[in-house]
Amino acid sequence: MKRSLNLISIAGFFTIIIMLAVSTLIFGRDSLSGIFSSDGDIRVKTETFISSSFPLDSNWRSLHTMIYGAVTGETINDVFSDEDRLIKVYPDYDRDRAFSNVGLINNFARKTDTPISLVLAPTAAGVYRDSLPDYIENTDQLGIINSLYYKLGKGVGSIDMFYPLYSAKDDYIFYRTSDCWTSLGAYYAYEDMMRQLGAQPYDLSNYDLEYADDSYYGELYQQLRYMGCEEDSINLFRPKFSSTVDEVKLYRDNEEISAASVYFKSAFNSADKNDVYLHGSDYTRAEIDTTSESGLRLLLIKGHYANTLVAFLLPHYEHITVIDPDRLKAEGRTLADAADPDSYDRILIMYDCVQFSRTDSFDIFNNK
Amino acid sequence: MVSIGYLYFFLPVFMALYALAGQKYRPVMFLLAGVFVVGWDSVFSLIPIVLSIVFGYLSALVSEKAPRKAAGAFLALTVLLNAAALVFFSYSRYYDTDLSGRLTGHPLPFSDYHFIGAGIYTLHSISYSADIFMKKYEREKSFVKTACYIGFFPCLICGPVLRYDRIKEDLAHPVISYDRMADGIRALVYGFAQKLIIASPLLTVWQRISAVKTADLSFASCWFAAAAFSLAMYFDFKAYCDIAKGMGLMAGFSMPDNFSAPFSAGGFNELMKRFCSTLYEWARDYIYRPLCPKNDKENIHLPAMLAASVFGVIWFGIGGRYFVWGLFFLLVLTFEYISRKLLTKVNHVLRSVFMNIIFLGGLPLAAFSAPADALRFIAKMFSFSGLAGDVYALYVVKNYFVLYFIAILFAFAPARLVRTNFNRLNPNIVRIVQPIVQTILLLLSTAFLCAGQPEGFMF
Repeated sequence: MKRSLNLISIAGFFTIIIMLAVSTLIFGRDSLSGIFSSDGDIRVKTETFISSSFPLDSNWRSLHTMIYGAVTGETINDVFSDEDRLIKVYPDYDRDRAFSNVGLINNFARKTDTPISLVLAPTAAGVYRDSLPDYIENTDQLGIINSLYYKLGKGVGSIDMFYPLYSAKDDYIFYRTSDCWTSLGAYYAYEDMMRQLGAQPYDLSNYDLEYADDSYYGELYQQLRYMGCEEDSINLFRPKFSSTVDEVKLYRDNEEISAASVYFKSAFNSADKNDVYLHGSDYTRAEIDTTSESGLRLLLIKGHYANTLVAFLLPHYEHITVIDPDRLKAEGRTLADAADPDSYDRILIMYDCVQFSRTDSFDIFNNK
Repeated sequence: MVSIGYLYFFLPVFMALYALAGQKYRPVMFLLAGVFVVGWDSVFSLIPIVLSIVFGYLSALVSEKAPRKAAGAFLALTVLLNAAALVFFSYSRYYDTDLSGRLTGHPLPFSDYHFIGAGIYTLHSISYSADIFMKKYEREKSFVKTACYIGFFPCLICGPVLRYDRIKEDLAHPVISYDRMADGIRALVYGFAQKLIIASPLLTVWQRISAVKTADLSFASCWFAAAAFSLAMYFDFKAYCDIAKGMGLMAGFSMPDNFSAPFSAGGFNELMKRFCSTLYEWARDYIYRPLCPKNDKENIHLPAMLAASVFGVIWFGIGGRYFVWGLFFLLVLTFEYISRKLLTKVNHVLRSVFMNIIFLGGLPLAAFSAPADALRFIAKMFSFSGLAGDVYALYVVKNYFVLYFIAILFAFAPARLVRTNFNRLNPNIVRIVQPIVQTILLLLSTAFLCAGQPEGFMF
């Protein structure tokens, strides 16, 4: 009996080991030949290959989250699983870089007469801070945003995004499975922002809500595979009476595409469905001509949070130029190569406060 | 060693080649596997281990062939070289445990590399050379087998420390048997589970609480944190030793146990015997006993004990925190020695409780890099204040109660007693349950590895 059970034990162990190892090699996402290519450290390449090609990755993560995250209430990769949502927390905040970015914006403001406003939105961890247990380290986003606004120079205005979102926190303003706001969250942000800018926002009743996708699993779910929260839905706000877009042109490197909408439904077949808004961060610059007869031109310098909000700005401006500083810098260009700030009626610099502390691309404001 | 790559790729490939090699070539295969494991992190790691092996082999050769005086001189050289390797390379990757970094303020150029196993192969080389010099047993004629012993790769992370005379039979004829293979797999899987499911999460508790200002903590949080650190340290060490034992058994080597319910010990001397017992035996045989007067082996001698304790400190690292902790150990061991007659009259359970309280009370000295932080933490532990509104104690009780319970159960003797009694009742039930538990733990460990749970040795 002992011998038979030992045999079962050995066979069971090696069956699992060999099955998973062979699956990694044969059915893995990456090609094994990549390990033996001449570039890079073979140790790093091997470890990367194994971690990316090991089978049942999502199932393993789900099992881990179920046992560790749910039982201990701990964050996993800085993601906290609340009862029905995942919240990405930020224990560290690069204050130096954030303040340095404010300095660059102040310098930029001195070079142009166009009014500039900085819009810093909180992430879900800022809005749902009361849902996080006291023992979880998290950046005080409201405090950070206020201290950054305090450092803004004369030529730069600040727009509060925290309280509009905080007061609407019981609505569906953040995805349950992603660290981004929903289109409703973006609407509340827009509504308050326009008032602060002295304009009248359009009421929600002016929009039809299109339930574009009801099975969105964001990047936080992809990391943890947490079964405790439902899938998200992506809803698109469309003006009731007529389209507000004449033409949208998107640019990156030497590529240019045209479209008739700021919504790109092809993203529903891509890795991140949330790229439906202005193609996510795939393009460096967008030039949007609208049907508005306001005669106003807007330059929007943005992080990824702004993509969802752009649709609400269309009726207010005749032309909107959207610039992604990270991509522009990666292309080796400055803002002057992409747009003339003085030719706009308003410049909005819109980020979530976390991305704002991580980007090192505001040197695009300096001419070469 | 605790990684998907090691478990799912290195292990089956090594075992297949090792089994196919046949008894004659298995030592060669074992040695090549060791070269691969050590060299995988950095080829520079191979330099000190090769030197240690070569000097160990040559010292044994010289002891056998050369006059006694020359052999003694060569032994001294071998011991010095290994001691230097231990001091400079063990834990050299970590700045605050790098001797050069401590002394000069500048880490050595090679401190970026991880010199895996410097704390183990140096001890193997010294004990082997010394034993041959003392004519305890005959030297190993084969360089490959000597190299296999000195650089015994499964043990290189944190032991157990092996003795040549206890594995020479297995080195001569490494036999893969079903029983050893099954026992080895079990030990290996239990090792992975202890590391990933118990040690790493408990270390998170320590990290989370110790990151808070001590003034904001209550005494209860501090005790919970110290207990978490203590259990995490124990299970991390034990996990790697179990993995080493598992690999050794699978390859046909009988391996010693390195831990024997240390927290059930009735005193600090017993604690040291039970925690890393092979290291304790090594220090006893190669430092303490040679320093004791020849005609008095029975009584404890403080200078020899001091030397053995200093060795223990260096083995764990060169950082200031280890010196302070070593001093703490020396104090309690001295006190224990002075009051030994009185202590024998005290009930074992009571002594064990006191030992654990004092051990936890001193543990922050090893856990904090700044002694001032450690002292503040210890003061808070014994202040018995600040419980009102303490969120961290509540956090531990609410979130980690089950993990603490499991860890304490397995760290103390009761789990052992239950297992032994259960075995006596019906060994067949245990044998049926074991493969099921083993499979569940293997799958859970894989899940924890895939989710990116810390893999490296944490202490």
